[in-house]
Amino acid sequence: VKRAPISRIRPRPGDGLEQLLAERGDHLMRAALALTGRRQEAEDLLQTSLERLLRRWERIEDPESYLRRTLYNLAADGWRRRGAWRAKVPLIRVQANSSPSPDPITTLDLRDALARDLLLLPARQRAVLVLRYWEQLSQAETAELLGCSEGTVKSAASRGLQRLRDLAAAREAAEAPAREGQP
Amino acid sequence: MNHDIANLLRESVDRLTEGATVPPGLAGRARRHDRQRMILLRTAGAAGTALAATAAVVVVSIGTNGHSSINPGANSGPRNGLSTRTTAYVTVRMSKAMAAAEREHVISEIRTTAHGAWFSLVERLLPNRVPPPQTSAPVRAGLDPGIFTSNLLTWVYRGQIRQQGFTADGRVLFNIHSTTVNTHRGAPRGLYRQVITNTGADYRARSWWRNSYVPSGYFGYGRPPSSCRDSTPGLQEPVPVAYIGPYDWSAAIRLDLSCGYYNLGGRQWVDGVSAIKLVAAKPLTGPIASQPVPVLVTIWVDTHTYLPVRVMWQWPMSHGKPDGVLVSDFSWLAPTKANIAALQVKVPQGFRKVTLRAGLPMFEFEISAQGS
Repeated sequence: VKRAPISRIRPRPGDGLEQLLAERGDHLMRAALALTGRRQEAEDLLQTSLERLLRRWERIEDPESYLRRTLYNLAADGWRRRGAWRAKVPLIRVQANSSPSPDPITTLDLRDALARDLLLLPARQRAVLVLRYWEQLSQAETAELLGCSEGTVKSAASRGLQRLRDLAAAREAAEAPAREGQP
Repeated sequence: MNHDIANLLRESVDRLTEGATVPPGLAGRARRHDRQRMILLRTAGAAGTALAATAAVVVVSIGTNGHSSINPGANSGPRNGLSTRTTAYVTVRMSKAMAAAEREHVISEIRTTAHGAWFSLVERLLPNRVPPPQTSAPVRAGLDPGIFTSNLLTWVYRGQIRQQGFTADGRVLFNIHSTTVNTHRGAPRGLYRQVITNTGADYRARSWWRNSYVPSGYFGYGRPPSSCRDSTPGLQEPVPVAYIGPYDWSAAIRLDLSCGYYNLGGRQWVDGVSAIKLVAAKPLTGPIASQPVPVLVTIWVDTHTYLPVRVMWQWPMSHGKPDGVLVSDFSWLAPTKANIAALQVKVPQGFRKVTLRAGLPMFEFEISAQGS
């Protein structure tokens, strides 16, 4: 039996990545944006996930699943806070927020208080809420993807929703006097 | 709230992310970045493997300060010879790692804290620009006089420098971004001129400025000496004290190392990083401020990456005061899109634009015990 050389059978690492992104990239980009709240950070998160995927490309059977899992787990683990340099990014952003040329996403963000509040939650709670209520995964699926127990998912979702309710209530209370003062 | 928060959340995230698409070229960027990472890892890995073979020798030759992860006494030999060899080994590895980081355009972040000293930011007429040097007093036209800080954050990336000064409680005092462009136009063959553009914001005066500057001559200022014959080590003057402009501190460190200004001083943990300590062979009499003082420089190098994690300058103070100390902690940042964008200065709304009449904003480093 004549066998083809391995190099002809096995694709070059990363072959098919463009196709994967063409098919699923926009959805993953949306997930990254929901998890980070800013387009540039979302791109960084997705790029970092892609790099992880490339490193293991030849050893994994389902690249899309791996990429999605990596993206959510990086976000849940607070990937922004891992390196010392990442801790400095918020320092700079404090000024960026007061810039006269806001990011379109920021503008959109301002219009949408709930999505903005979502960014105030701890990274893991945020990931759980996005998975449960935007991706509409079950508790079991969310737990499997994040590598934790269903109980952890349940409590994180519950706390996250409660926190969102509290933030919304506080905002309504703060806005009420202003509305009363209007003609 | 009366509405189901979970449903609202879904709509809200839908709205937030609507229309988001994968940016073109993201896969290519990921591939490139991953390749760069592999190059860096290979450089550091090779260095780390070789170090493992000689680490015990380092401890034997140093005798103190070795931390417990090293197994001492695995080898023996003449002390001086080994010490010399391992010092050379570390300095070569460090030079290679820094050169690799430079090639890969890694962003260096330097967080500096001064004790018994401060930085002052002034607008100054530089000596190599009209009017002549003797009139080069601080101008302070656009800058609020007396912006002092002991806390600086510096980012350096491919001809760009961003410097922020902070109060002790973390409020921003100033924020400056400087870009240097080299141009060969009008310069003799093989030489170039530099065009430096600054954007800065003074938070206390709520003002900002933008100016450009062309240093006279065909080489920039603040560049490290080109050979050991120049005899002035690059780190004689603290990195953050350099002009707000082009200062190739990475090359300065490499030159210092290659000229043999440092000896091994043991191994220590620096903020959780295992590091090799390099101590200047002798105090340098350098212009750390306007007064010449003997300055002792110490460098800590990451044992895994061979990149510097900390540099400390220390000098004696008059009137029996504790030594003046300047500590710069280094981080090495990936040149991601977000990080590169963060180098730019965003002028806060409501800040008044002012004009710098000449020269450049620049730092002066002053020692409190000796007066200004």
